[in-house]
Amino acid sequence: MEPLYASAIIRFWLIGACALGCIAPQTRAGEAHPDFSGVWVAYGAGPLPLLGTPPNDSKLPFTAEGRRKVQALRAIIGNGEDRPGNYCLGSGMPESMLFSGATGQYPMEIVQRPDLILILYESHMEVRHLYLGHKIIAEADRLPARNGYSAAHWDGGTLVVETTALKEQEDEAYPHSEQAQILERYQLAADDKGEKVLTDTWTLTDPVFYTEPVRGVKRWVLDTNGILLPYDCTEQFWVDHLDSLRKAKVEKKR
Amino acid sequence: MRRVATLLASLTILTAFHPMVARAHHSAAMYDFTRTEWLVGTVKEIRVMNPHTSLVLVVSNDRGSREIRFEGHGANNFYRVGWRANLVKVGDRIRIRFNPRKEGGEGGFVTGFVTPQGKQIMLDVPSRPADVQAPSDQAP
Repeated sequence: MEPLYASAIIRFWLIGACALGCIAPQTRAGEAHPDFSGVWVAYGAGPLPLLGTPPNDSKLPFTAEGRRKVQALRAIIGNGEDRPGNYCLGSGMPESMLFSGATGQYPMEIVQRPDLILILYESHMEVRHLYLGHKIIAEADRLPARNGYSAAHWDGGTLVVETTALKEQEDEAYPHSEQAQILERYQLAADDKGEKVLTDTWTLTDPVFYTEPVRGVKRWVLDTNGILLPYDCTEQFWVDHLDSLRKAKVEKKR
Repeated sequence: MRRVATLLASLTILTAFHPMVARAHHSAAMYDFTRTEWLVGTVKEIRVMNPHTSLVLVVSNDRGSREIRFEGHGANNFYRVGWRANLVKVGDRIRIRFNPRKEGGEGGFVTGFVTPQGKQIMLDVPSRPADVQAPSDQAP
């Protein structure tokens, strides 16, 4: 055998082995962890989820402090349905998750990578970053936000998401303080029609606002042809501002 | 003191008429979502946008001719049931479906409309949540 030819064969096998070595673990990981990627809408024809500040007679297990804070906001907005969304502000967790895909509107999209899972909610273009492994930063370094900071890990086929660094919010259906923690367990299954169903079993714990954990279950079905639409909400503010400047200029010329 | 009073008055006026503040006065609180009504009119102004659509119709009937202002579902919701840009234009005569105001008066929350060409853009989603305290749990 010519040395050059032998060398080529050895290189071919080495490259082949390397390629298998690189791909195989990813394939194994892909098999171990279900793929949540896709566009999802709420499963079933249930009622719209609650939105905005609960009423004064809410049955949520508030502490005295939690109820006082919620009622203080109710005293300002009255019995109406004033809420952040009416002013182009996203709901924040857990309402952003609970409202997504309701009655087939405002779906959510999941984009999945090994170290980061993105959840995009169409309504108000809210985005959650679920960090895994080395991407997770120390609690002290997390910037508080309405959707908080989400650290995730896999427990077999279940994605466990712990959300902290939440801003205090009395303006959503499940109000909470900045000490709130939301634990979610996402599981993928198929219903009897073979439709992919994603289930989020969630628990909100907050010693400042609640005397006991608040629990719920949210389900979505995969919309294989679904897309997320752009949700422009604040552009009109700018358009109106320009209009007012134009009018002011015309007035000045007169 | 007079300067302070003048400044406060100016700020009050600016706040009241600033376009951003004026536009932000969206609330579905004032509408009765249990009732549905229909009305025909000519479009004077229409903005199919988020979070809520804005519509001014010129209506002429036995109560005379006048402008009536409406709010309605957002652009994304109407898009998903067939609305597209410029489908309805100023000057078009359209028929709208809406939830009226709780406390009487004209106007309401638009849930659908029929274009001059007869195209129906109708949203059949509940406009308010059911009176429950826990998220729904429909087992697959």
